[in-house]
This record gives sequence, structure tokens and C-alpha cells, in this order.
Amino acid sequence: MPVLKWIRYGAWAGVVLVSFVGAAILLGWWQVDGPGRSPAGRAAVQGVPAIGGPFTLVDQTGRTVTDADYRGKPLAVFFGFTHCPEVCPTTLVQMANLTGKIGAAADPLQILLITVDPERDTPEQLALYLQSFDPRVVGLTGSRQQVDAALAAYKAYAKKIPTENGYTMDHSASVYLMKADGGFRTMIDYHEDEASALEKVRMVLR
Amino acid sequence: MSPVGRRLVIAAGLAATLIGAASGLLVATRREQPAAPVLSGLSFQTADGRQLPGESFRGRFVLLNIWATWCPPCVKEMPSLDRLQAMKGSGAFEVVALSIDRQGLEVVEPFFRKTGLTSLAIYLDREARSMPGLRITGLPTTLLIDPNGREIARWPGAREWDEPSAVAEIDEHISKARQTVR
Repeated sequence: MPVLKWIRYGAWAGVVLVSFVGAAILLGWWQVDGPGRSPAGRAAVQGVPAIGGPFTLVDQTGRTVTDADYRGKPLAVFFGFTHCPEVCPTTLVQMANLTGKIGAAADPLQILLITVDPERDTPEQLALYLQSFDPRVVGLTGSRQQVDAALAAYKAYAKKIPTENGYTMDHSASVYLMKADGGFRTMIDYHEDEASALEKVRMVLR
Repeated sequence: MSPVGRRLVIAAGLAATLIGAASGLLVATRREQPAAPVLSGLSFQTADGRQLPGESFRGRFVLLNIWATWCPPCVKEMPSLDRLQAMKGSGAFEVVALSIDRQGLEVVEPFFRKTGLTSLAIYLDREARSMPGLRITGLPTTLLIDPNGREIARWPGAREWDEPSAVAEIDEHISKARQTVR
């Protein structure tokens, strides 16, 4: 009975396939999360990446500031620019939403917007722009080199993209949450849902 | 065929059926999930200080534009939204431009006056609750909402809303939605 024979082969092939997939999943788990994890892998999971570092920039009042000026305060740092030609980033609004929800407990948090477009975002332009938001937000600009150094410290990137009538900036859109001692705590992703973003802000405030 | 072989074949067949049924069920439930009414829970403050619940826009198609005076592309497309409302606004269709400016009327009213917007009404969402509520990550974002309050289209970024191609696209979404509702 050739038909049954083929069915039998097919069934055995299925059994082999299922056991192979099962074994692969088990092996993968063993290596990545299970007891077989390498010491280096453990460090990568538990260690803190070196994000953040020294910067010297100019705030929206024209004052020169460094990272040391904000030591002792948890920070929410993100990169942006005010001349949005097609779609405006809304991180400032989202941060205001989060701190508004947390209430007075969020007062110690210092929100820093570092422009990636220092050519157009002068201290005056930043001051004008920031009027539309939470008055506690500090806008930072500086020379191209100063801004690039801050970008490098935060392992962030920014790139000029020419458009029909000028240019726009493509840049990292995450919010870096830094501890009061200046160390990196965690980051909020651009598309992160509100509940988990709230939890992260609360975490850095503790 | 030996009894063991037969049992194996039956077991394999059974397993395949189970897996097939389970994945079919997964796909089916994912597809059948209806879109939730997007405006529930949102609040629209009018120029005279009234708070309209999102449900008050039920029964008509709404082109909901989320904007702010600090957003240059939003500012640029506002006159075209005003013209679209003048052209198409009716009991069955409304362009609703919702400002998320924190200062609210204080900055929106002068902007309307300066820009000469006369057909659009002022709607304010000073706490920007529409941002997480509608999962908006950039401004402007424009949504087309059907009379049952469900989102049927979304356009991130600015456009000229009264251009024939834009109007045709909106009309197409509306007629498609009318067919499926009936």
C-alpha cells in the first residue's frame, strides 16, 4: 500500500521536524537566558551602557551650562529642533503629559531639550519656542561642535536632510532618563505606550 | 501497515489538525477585532469654554486634524483645511481642527484671526490627551472618522487639503465606508 507508506513517511518527517524545532528552542533558551548563558552575556543584560557624559552648551537664556550644573537632579534628555518642515516632533508634549500625570512628585525632574539644529535654533529661538510648553523645560544649543559632542555622549545621531525649501533634521527620538548622579537609568522609546513611559519616569524619580 | 504505524499516522494527523485549527482561530480573531471608537474619552473644548465629549461628533464623518500653533507645517496647512470645511462642511461631514496648544484660546484665537480662518471652529485639547489617546507621534496628523466613531484613514504630515486629489481621496474613503456600514 504505497499511499499508507507515504503517509507514514510524512508522519515521521513531521515528528522529526517538531522535535528539531523543540530542540532548537530549548537550546536557544539554554544559551541566551538559561543556565548556559555566558558570563559576558550576563553582563550585557545586567550592566548599564555608557550613555550620557560631559557636555557644555548654552541654554535659552544665553547662559553657558555643563552637565555638572544638573547633577543632583534626575534628567529627561532628548534631542530635537524647532523648524519642523513636515512633521513636528511631539516629545515635549508627551513629556508634559507624563509629568502632568505624576504631579508634584515629578517636580525634581529636569527636562532638557538639546537642539540638533544649532544653526537655526539660537537661544532666542529656543526661548520663543519653549513658551508654548512647560516653563521648566530647558532648551540647550551651542556651537556645532558642542552639539556634536553632546550627541556623541548620548550615543545619539542627527543628520541634515535637504527638502524642497530648506532642510529638516533626522535624529534619535528617544528620551534618555538619567539618575541624579548623572548615570544612565533607562530610555523611553518614541512609540512607547504611556503606561510604561510613566513607570520609567517614576522609576528615575525614586 | 503495523498498528504502531497506524497510531502514529493518526496522532500526527490529529496534531496537524489541532495546530491548523489553533492558528486559524488566531488569524480569525485578529481579523474580526473591530476598531474601537477613537474619540471616546477625548474632550473638545470650544471657544466659548464648553467641553464637548468625543461622542458628540457621532453621526457624521469627521476629518480630525491634530495641530498646534508652534508647529510650522500645521500652521501652513490650516488655510487649506479652512477651505475644505467651507467646500464640504455639512451635517454629514465636518473638518475638526483640534489644537493641542497648552495656552489654548490665548494663542489659537489670535492665530485664527491673523490667518483669516472663518469656516473652521476652534477646538482645544490643552492637555494634549488626544496624543496618547489616538497614538499620535507627530504633528500634524489627520484622521478620517466614520459616523460610528471609528478611524477609517490616517495621514501623518501636512498636505493641501482642498486640492482635487486630496478631496478625491477623502471622498473615496467615505464612499467605501458607507458601503461597508450598510
